[in-house]
Amino acid sequence: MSILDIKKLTASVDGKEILHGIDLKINPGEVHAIMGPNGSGKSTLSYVLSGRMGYEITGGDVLLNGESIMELEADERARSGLFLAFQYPVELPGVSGMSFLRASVNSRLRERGEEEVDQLSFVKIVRAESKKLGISDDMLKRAVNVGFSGGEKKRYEILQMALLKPSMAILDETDSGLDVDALKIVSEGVNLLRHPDRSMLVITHYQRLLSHIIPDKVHILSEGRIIKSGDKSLALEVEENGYAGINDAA
Amino acid sequence: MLPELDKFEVKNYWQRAHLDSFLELGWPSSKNEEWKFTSLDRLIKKPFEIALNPEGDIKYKLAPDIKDSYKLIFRNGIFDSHTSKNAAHNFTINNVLEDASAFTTINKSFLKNHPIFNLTLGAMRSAIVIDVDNASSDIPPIIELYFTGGLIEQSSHPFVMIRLGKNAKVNILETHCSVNSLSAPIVFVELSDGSVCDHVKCQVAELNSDQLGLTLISQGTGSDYRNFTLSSGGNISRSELHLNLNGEDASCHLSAIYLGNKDQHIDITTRLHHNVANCKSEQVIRGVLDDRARGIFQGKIRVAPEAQKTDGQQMTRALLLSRETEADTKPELEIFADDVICSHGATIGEIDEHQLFYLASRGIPEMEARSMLIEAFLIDTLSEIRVPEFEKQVEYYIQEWVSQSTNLSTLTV
Ligand SMILES: Nc1ncnc2c1ncn2[C@@H]1O[C@H](COP(=O)(O)OP(=O)(O)OP(=O)(O)O)[C@@H](O)[C@H]1O
Ligand SMILES: [Mg+2]
Repeated sequence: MSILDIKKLTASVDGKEILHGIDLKINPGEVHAIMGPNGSGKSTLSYVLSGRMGYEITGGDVLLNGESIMELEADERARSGLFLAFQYPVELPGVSGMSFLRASVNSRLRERGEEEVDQLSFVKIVRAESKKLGISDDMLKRAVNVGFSGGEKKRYEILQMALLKPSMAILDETDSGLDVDALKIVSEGVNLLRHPDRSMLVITHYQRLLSHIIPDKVHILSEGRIIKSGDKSLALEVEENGYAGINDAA
Repeated sequence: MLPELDKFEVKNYWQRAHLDSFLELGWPSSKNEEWKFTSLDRLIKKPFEIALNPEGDIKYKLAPDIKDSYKLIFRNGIFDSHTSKNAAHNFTINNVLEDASAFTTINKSFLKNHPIFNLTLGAMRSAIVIDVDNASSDIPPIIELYFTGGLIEQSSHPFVMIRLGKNAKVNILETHCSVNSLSAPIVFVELSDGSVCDHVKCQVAELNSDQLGLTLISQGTGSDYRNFTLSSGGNISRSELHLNLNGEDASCHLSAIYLGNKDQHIDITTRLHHNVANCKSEQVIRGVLDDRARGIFQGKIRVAPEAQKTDGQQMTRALLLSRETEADTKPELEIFADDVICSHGATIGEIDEHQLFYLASRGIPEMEARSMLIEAFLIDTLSEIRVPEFEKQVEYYIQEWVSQSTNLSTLTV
C-alpha cells in the first residue's frame, strides 16, 4: 500500500481552478521530487494536501496510509502523519519555540494515546536534534521563526520534521535561501530521516538539492498538471534544457 | 494598630456634601463627553442600595495565595478586620476622617464634579489610610486589597489611601471579585519624593456586577510608579485612573489588559497630568474581545505649560475574536508646553489565519492554537509587570479567561 495516493485531484483557490487533475502514488520509503516553473501549482498542491483553508478540493481523492483525508481538518491530517515544511515559514511573535515544539509533539502523542513528554526530557531531545542541524540554543529560546534568517527558518522546519516523525513529509522549496554549507547540513538532516516507513515529497527548482537528497522519482508539474515523470535523470534534463524542452518532449 | 472601624461614623457634614453634589449632578449621561462611550443605563435601572453590613465570601476561583503579604479584605465595601492579617508588617493604619492630612489631600482633589468620586466619598462605610515608611528596607512589602461582597442589589464604596513616605517602597495588589450590583471603590496612592510603587489591579468580578472603581495617584519628585490593570470581570466596568505628576523627574508606566466576552462592556480610562517638567509616562493597552463584548480605551495626557521636556507615549492594540465585538480608542492629547514628545497609536486586528494554519499543520487542535495566539498577543504587556508574584496572579486569570473563552467558542461552532 502506498503512503500517499493522489487520485485525479482537482482543486481551486478563490474559485479559480489551479490543479487540473493530479495522479501521484508514493510508496513507503520513497522520495519523490516535484519540479516545475513558478506558478505551476507546487505550493498549491502542498497546501491542498495539508488542508489549508480556502484551498478547495473540487474532485478526486487523497489517501494517506490507505485512508481518505478529504474530510479531515488540517490539524487532524497532521496528527495522522502528514507534515509540511513551508516554503515561507510563519512567524509567531510571543509564542515561545519550546512550548510550540512541545505542543506539536504532544498533540501527536495524545492522538496515539501515548503519554505526553515532560519538559526536561523534551528539552534534551530538542537540543540533540538541533545540534545535528546547526541550530543554536539562542534560536531555540526565541519566539517561533521571529528574527530568524531565511536559512534558519528552513532548518527549523526540518527540526520540526525530525521531532514529529511524520509518515509523509512534503518539503516545499526547503533549499531556497540556504547557502552551500547550510544546504549540505539540511540535506544530511533530511537523509537521516529517510526511513522505510516514511515517504517524502520534495518540491524544488534545483537539481543541486537532488544531488544531496537523491529521489526515487521526479515529476514535472506545469500549469496544474504532471506533464512528465521519470527517474533522477529527469532533474538533470531540466537543469540543462529548462522546462521548455520538457514540454516539447511531452 | 487597627482603628475601631466598626464604630466609624458615616453621617457627617462632609460626606453629606459629597452625596449632595452627587445628587445634584446625577449619574453621568452619554452627553457627558467623559462618559460618551460608557452608558450606565443598565446599572441605573437595577434596584440596589448601599450595603451596610460586611457580607459575602471571596470568590472561590481566585488565583493562589501570595505568601507574606498584608491582606486587607473589604466585604460589601466594609473593612473586615477579622479576615485581614497584619503579619510581620509595620504599617500604620488610620481612619481617613480622623487624619487631618489625608482629609485635606482628598478635599484638594481635582475631581469635585466626578460622580463616582462624590458617591463613594458620601456613601463610604470604611475609609482607611495606610502609611508606609520603610525607606531603609530592601524588599518592598506587598499589600493586598480584596474587594468582595456577596449581595446583589447592594453597592459597596470603600475608600483606601496608601501613603508612601520619602523613598518608601511598596507593592500593591487589588483584587476585585464582588457580586454586588455596583462596586465603586476608590484607591488613592500618594507617592512622596523618591518612593517606588508597583501596583496591580485585577478586576475579575462576577458578570452580573458593575465595577466602577477609581484609582487616584499623585507622584512626588523622582518617584517611580508602575500600574498594571487586568479587567475581565463585570457587566459594565470602567477602570478609571487619574494620575498627577507633581514632582520633577518622576516617571510612571501604565499598562492594561482587558478581556471581554458575552455582552460585557469594559472601559479603561486614564487621565494623566504632567504638571511639572522632566517627567516621563508610558501607556500600553491590549484588549481581546469575543461575542458581543465592547472595549473602550480613553487615554488623556495633559501637559501643563510649565511641563517642558515631557515624554508621553501611548499604544493600544485590540484583538477581535468575533464580528460582533467593538473596540473604541480615544486618545486625547492636551499639550500646553512646546518642548515635549508625545505620541499615541492604535491598531485593531483578528487572529491571523496564516498563524492558525501553521499551528494546525503541526497537529495542534484549533482551540489550543487560538489560546496560544491570544496568550502570545498579551505576553508583552503581561511582562510589563515587575513583581513576579503579581505576574503569576494575572497570568492565572488570563489563562482562566482564555480557556473558558475558547471552550465556549467550540460549543457555538
Ligand atoms: N489566492 C489565490 N487566488 C488566485 N490565484 C492564486 C491564489 N493563490 C495562488 N494562486 C495562483 O495559483 C498558481 C499556483 O501558485 P503556487 O504558489 O502553487 O505556485 P508554485 O508552483 O508554488 O510557484 P513558485 O515556484 O513560485 O513557488 C499561481 O498562478 C498563483 O497566482
Ligand atoms: Mg511555491
